[in-house]
Amino acid sequence: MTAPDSNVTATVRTMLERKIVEGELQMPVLSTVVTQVIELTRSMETSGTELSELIHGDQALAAHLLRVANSPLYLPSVQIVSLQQAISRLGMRVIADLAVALAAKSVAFKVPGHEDEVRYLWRRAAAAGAFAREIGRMRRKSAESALLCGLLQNVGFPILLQTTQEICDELGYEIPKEVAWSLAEEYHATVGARMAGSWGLPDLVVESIYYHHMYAQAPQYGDDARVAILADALAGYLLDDGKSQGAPQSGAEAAQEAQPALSLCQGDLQPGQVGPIPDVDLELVEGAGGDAEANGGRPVGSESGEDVESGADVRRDALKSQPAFGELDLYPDDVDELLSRSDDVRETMELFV
Amino acid sequence: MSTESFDFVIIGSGPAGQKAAIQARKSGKSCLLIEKSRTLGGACVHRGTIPSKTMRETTLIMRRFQRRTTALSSNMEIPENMRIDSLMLSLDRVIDGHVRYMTNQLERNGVEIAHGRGRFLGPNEIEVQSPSGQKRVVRGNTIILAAGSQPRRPPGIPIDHERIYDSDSILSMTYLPDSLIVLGGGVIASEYASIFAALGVKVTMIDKAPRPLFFLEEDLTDRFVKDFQAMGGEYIGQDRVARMEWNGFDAVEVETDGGQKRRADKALCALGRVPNLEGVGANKIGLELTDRGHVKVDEFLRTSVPGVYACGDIIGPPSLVSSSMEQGRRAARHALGLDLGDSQEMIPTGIYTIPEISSVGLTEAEAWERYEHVAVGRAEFGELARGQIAGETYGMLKIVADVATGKLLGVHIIGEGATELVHVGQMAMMSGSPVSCFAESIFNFPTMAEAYRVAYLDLHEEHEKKQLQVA
Repeated sequence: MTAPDSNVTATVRTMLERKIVEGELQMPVLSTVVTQVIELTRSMETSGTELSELIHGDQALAAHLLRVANSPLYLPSVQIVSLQQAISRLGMRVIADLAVALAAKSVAFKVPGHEDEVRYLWRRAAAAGAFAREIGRMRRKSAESALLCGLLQNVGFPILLQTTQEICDELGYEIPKEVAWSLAEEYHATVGARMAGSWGLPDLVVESIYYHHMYAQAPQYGDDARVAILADALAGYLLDDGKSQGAPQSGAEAAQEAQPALSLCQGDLQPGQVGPIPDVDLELVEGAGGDAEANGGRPVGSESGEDVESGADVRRDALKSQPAFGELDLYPDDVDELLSRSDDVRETMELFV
Repeated sequence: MSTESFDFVIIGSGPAGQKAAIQARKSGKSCLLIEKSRTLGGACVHRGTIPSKTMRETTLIMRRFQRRTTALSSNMEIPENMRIDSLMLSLDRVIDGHVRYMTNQLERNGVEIAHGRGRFLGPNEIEVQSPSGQKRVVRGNTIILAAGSQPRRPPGIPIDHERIYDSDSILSMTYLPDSLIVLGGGVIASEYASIFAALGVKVTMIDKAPRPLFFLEEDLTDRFVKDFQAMGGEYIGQDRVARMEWNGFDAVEVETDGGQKRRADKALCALGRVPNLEGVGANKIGLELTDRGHVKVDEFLRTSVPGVYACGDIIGPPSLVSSSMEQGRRAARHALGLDLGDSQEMIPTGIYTIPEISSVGLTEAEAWERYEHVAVGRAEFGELARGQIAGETYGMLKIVADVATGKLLGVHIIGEGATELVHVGQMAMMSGSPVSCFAESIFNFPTMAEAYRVAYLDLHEEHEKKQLQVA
């Protein structure tokens, strides 16, 4: 692919920034049913019948709940055929999380022209959500809200990709995928946080999305932002499929490239200072997988099975050396423990994909 | 790998470790303080004492406001779905201030701090592993183990930190629940139970003891239970949990051996704490433990291994911040061959329930076991002008004295300000003052300290009736 005309990119960027700053970005809207489901699941007074009647109004959600309730994860002794049975089986908390996740997936994670990448992004988000919950349990802190922080931290990407596509359509331009993803990388935290705010999600979730690449600057929920970004790193490791074309750059390099525009734009949009991007060098993790892909599926330098082992060790060591783990008082053996829970993570992940 | 040597190596930067480190440095000794968390202070600062007290303070302010502004009371209902963190808005400021103070103090005194996990390689040798996995080995002429404790996870209680919490995770709950089951009747259980009840949560406490805070003066715990019930709380005593589980839908359900069944939004398991011995390598050096799994120490805080001391939660009760600080200081002083003093005998108990409880010395029952004639006096806070003005009429102060000598044996208080007020009695006891000193002293008016004088007059009147002479 030839390099894009720099004027075209600059024009698209300007229009995208204007839309963000002026609040013209089309935010996915949470359906009335999902909004009410979230409200109802927070109340002790809610009955299964009441919830069931409400969910009947959203066929997609109803079908998804039935599918999950019948999944091996919940080991139903009899087939779950009614929504009320499914609600009893899953419980309020899972229903609330599923409602938000399904809404995010259906209204945000659909971008024509980027289907494969966005599918990967969603799978990774689901794994990150599951890992975030495991980190919360291990730290004995905020396990309840960690799942949504992990799951939604990159929800800004598809929204921005969609908007970029619309701008290009409007101008009659074409830009390569990697340029579109690079633009999305710059603003995804701001836009993701804004979406979470518009959906009425807790401040903790909104702030952790906004600050997940610069957790050191988070006013109140820096640790939750750390949990989110580390969960994403663990998810990347687990999925082990490297960086697919145009998939989000989470590394310091991309973040640093984005910094000038990010500072300008985020400062305009959100309260709080936007400082330098912290050094969350996920490239170490993702890069290994990416190079492996380019190397015919073998990790870099692999000639034999032994080398494959050492490649995996390198990736694992790189993962463990993320400074944010230490900042959360998680030691290398804790990271091993988290990775040993991969089966649980995959099961939770399947709820959302 | 090279080995660095220090006069003192201390594992844990909680109240015990800090005081030991300061004492060592003040005596001119080199000292390495190993802390596994990125910030100093231990569980006390980050998960226990300070966070819960911060939430309690907000609760008290709301409660006082409700009491005093009846005209506005209809607007002071606790909102549905109130976020827990909104009750602790000052927490970060409080913790930052406290950590900064501690860090400055340690640095000013020249204590070297290592962020990592400490593990015994031998009686005088510790391996320190940093969060990034790097290791170093240090030697200490004296090792002080002050690694703290963590909540106990009793078998059969599925603590998941999402629906069933322990005392470390309870404050990371997102929303204030409508109802809460609290397992346990000790200090932590009673503190959280009363705070949540004061916030309008329907709280059920379940414990094997017939009353909560069983070790305290019965007058105080009776009052506590009455106030707890008045806030909508329920105490199920002399019972045990047979089954506890999340029902998979909307509630935690509990069944007791006594056949009681309860359900609630959330549950808190506060059935004690266990010492942080895992990963310390206690077995490696053959540290002797007590029957309850704490590190066994003698009166000088020496463990069974020469050169190794232990203090704080890791040695078991009383597990108070105040006692841990004193233990840390004493351990270091003993290792240095310095005089220990005798203040260890008189440690007050401060319990931050709503209402607050504090106690020092003997209970009435304990006094009767040791003395032939015991006299008690009570002062109701409602009898005090300050109590009326402050709207704190619920409390009570009780004094216990030996009739033969007039010696003050114990002071027990329930009511706001109890943990401060107890120090007046503590000082009288430490100075050996007779109980009559409360009648002969002039206190500020109006103050809650007047309760001492009122209690003495009550004691005196009671004994005049019985024609007993209190010295």
